[in-house]
Amino acid sequence: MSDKVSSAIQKLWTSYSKNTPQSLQLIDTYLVFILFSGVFQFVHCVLVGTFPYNAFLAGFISTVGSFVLAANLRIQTNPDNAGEFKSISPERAFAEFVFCNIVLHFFVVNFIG
Amino acid sequence: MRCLLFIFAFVLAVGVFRVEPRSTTGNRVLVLLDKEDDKALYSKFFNSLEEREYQLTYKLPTDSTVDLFSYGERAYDHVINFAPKTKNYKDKVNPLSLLNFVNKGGNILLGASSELSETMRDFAREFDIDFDDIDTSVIDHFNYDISDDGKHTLINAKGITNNEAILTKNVIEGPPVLFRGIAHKVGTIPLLTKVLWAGETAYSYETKADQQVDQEPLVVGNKVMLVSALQARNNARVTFVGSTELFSDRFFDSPIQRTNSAESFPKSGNEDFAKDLTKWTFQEKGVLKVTSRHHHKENETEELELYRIKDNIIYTIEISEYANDHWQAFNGTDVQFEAIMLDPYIRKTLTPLPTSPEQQARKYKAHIQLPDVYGVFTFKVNYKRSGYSYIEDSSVVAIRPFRHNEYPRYISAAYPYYTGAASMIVGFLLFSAIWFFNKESSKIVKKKTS
Repeated sequence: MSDKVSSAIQKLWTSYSKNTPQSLQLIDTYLVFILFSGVFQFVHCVLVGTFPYNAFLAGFISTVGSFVLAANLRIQTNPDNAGEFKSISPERAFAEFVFCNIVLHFFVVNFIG
Repeated sequence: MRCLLFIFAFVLAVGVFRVEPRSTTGNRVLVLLDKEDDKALYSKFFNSLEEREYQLTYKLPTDSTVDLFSYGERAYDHVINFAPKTKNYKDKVNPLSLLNFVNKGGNILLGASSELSETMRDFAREFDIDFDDIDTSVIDHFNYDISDDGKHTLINAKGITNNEAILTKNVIEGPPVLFRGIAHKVGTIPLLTKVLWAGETAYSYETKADQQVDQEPLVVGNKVMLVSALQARNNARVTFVGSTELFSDRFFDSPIQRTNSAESFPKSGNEDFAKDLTKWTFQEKGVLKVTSRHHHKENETEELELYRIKDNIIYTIEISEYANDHWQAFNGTDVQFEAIMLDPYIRKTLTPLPTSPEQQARKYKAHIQLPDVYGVFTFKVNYKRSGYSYIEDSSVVAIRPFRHNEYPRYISAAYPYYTGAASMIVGFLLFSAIWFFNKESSKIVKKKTS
């Protein structure tokens, strides 16, 4: 059983590293980093308490926002989805990603106190 | 020219002789009597009222000219109803009209007797007061007065309220009050105050010769009410006295000595009691008013409509009491402040500040930290004590949350979140830089454009 699971994971991993473009792998790494940061903050808040609630909200929302924006960038730049985003070039997608991130972090820093 | 001088003199005379009413609501009194001659029975009582600058108008309730209202306004400020026997009250003074009179802020002193008519019982029932049946009297075989005629209905009242808003101290501690009349039972409404009641050995029953007491009396013991006072929610006052004789000249001047008691007084307490009771009923005492109210942030003076949560504010209210014919500082120590949004979030006793004798109001003050909840709050002082007129003063303020830049900064507990947010920014910059200079990502572009 565990043999099958491990072989399936092995297969998934090799297929992922072979077929996924390197740029998307880069985004995935970024997403994992964000995910862990968010989970860490949430767990910390649960354990320690909500005291600087605005700071927690700002920190946590910054991870959620970053995750959503990065995921969108991944969807829009994925060659498999090129058919769906004919009017959006990857340059434009990246520019929008940068713009939205600047706006997001502006508000986060404003709110964090 | 002469005419002008005359008018001038007239105006001057009116100005000089115009008397300020002692009562805070007015001095027009309507006196209802069973028959005109009854006036002589209470001459001392009525004279004392006239000395206190009341204008008394005597009428019979059966008189068709009597009207409590003129063009919808009260024609009188107070009513003394000493007509317990009369059955056929004209519509203008029937129980419904009297009730309207109270609703419009008029005060009523109702004197009853053993021959109380159904009309006045109906009126009393509106105030949760139940007079005993006709021909019954308060009987006490142990506390009757030595001048009693053998029926033991001329009694010395045993219980008297110690509420100094209604009666002065020397009446409470002075000679007892002589009473002969009907008993009543008071209900449970909190607007009622018991003023005078009978002793443990009293009961209420018919007084025919050879009367057998074979049924449970309506009231017994100290539940036998002799005088009760009610203050309606609009501060109008209605006083029920089970005996009109209590106000008579005969009772005023009568010496008083309880049977089996060596203590005797040359004069009963009736006159002073009647004086205090009418003073209270006609709004001459126990009247409170709010003269000013202010709230502001600590170290500021301006009254705001909008405060922040957890702001420290100072609330002050000035309360004045009418007593001894002038407004003076109120002496209560239990005035409370409430901050209410559906429920009271804060309830705090206000501190009375010392006053000098010439000040007409006392300042009450409290330091308050507003709750950690935002919304529209009502700051309220809701002061209701029996004997005193009710105070309900409220002001509406909004309480807002912290602005984004009012939160505390650089606190150690927030460092993990600062780190988190900073790591997001660094991550974003790093990712963008790598993406920007990455050949692979530009390859996608080519692939897509080709």
